[in-house]
Amino acid sequence: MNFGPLIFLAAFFGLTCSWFGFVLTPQFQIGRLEQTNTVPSGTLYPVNRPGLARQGLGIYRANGCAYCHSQQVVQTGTVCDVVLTDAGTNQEPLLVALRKLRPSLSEAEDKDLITGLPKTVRQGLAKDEAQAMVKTLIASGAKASVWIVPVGPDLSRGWGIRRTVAEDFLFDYPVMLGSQRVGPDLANVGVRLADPNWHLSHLYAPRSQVKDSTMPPYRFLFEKRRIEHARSPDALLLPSELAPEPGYEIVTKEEATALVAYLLSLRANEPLFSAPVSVASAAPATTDTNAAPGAVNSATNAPPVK
Amino acid sequence: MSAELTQPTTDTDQPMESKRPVPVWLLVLLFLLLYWAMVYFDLHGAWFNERVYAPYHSFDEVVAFQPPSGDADFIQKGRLLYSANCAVCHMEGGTGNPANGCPNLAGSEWVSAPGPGRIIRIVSKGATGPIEVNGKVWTTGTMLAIGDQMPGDENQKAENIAAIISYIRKTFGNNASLVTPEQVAAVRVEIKIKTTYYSPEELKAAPDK
Repeated sequence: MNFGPLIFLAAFFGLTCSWFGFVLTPQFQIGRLEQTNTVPSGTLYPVNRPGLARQGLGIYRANGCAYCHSQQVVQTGTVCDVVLTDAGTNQEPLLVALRKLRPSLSEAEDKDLITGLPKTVRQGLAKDEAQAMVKTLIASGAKASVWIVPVGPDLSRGWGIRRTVAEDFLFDYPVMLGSQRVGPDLANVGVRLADPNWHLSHLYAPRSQVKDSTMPPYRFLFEKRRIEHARSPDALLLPSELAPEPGYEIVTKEEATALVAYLLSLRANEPLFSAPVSVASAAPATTDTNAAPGAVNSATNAPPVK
Repeated sequence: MSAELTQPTTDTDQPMESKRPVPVWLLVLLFLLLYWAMVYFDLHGAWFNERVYAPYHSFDEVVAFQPPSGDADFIQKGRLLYSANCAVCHMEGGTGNPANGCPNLAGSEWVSAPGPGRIIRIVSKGATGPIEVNGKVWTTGTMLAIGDQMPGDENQKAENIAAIISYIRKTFGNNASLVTPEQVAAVRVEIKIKTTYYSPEELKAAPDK
């Protein structure tokens, strides 16, 4: 009996199902993504990367950075914190309410808690629980709010404040998602490590910045030059054991400059509708419309934990 | 000739696999898998909504986790909307522009009135002069129905208008109360059928609450 047509049909069916599942459905789902607005401040996100950073994407790709670095932050859940923002005028009822919410604290600690606001009163709650506590605090005359905090192993490593979503890569082609993490995730590296000189030294000699780094040095992105008249302002400031012999200096090639510009433009941390997160309320009005995207840094803006 | 070859051979003599029905356990397993897939999709699929990512399971859950917006965020939103919709005529600083007859918002009694009823009407439906602002009469300008022309449904319009009005009531040296989307929505219900621009007389007749 000739099974040829049956095998052909089975293979055709299998490939068609894959095509529908992996090509057509995602195309319908996120194929027409547009710029979105941050929530709640409403600024446009994302903005296109600067030209130099877009060139840097090519360098990132050419040097295979994506083989060891991912750009996708995973979030496993969302919890709520209760943040006290204003103690109000009459503090007695507030102290009573706080004693109920934080039975483990002494009276003196409670008094300490309501100075230097805003402060986080309770952490890691479910949404309903946090809302009930905020209601209790507001009823006692204070001002408090629910603080949305994404959680997950990646986030506790300090790799960002929220998961990455498709919008983060809207202007990237190709998208450098990466699949392995020999090195740390880079979706937020521009926020974590905002110093271009750090990145240049790290590319030239990774272990000069990170002690146990397994990253290979990318010295071909730099060039050793004889100092003609004066030191170049772009020359790397290296420790003595890495510095070239006297009369020479290490300067960056265009590739290194572009790559660092790209790394600094990786700032997937704006609060979006699809990835809600609380950040300190919108910065005071500025006229600088060319400001780098995602100038909000949770590490410095989040209220201190008590 | 050997004995075997003398035997007549036909197709029917060759060994054939007999037809056997698909085992019942396999069918049961298939349907169980299908059922599990349905349940899994129901719990995690969110109907392919592109705005729902893990760890969220449904659109409602994403909505529930939106951070509450403080006053500062609301005013910031108003600032962006003002820049996009109003600043062309009223200027970024709210100074107004005599060249096209747009009155100032800075220090304007229409903007900073104790009740926002009239400014909500102006922003929603537009206004046409001559209108007196701070003792100066502006004759030539006409303001279009910016609020009605905003994109989005009625709720979004009310929220955007409230953000703009809150912004102009708090900046340019003005310091009046914030306006909530509910206040705007309530006024907009009353003036739903109006199709013309407001005149100062009509505005003064309107309740300033």
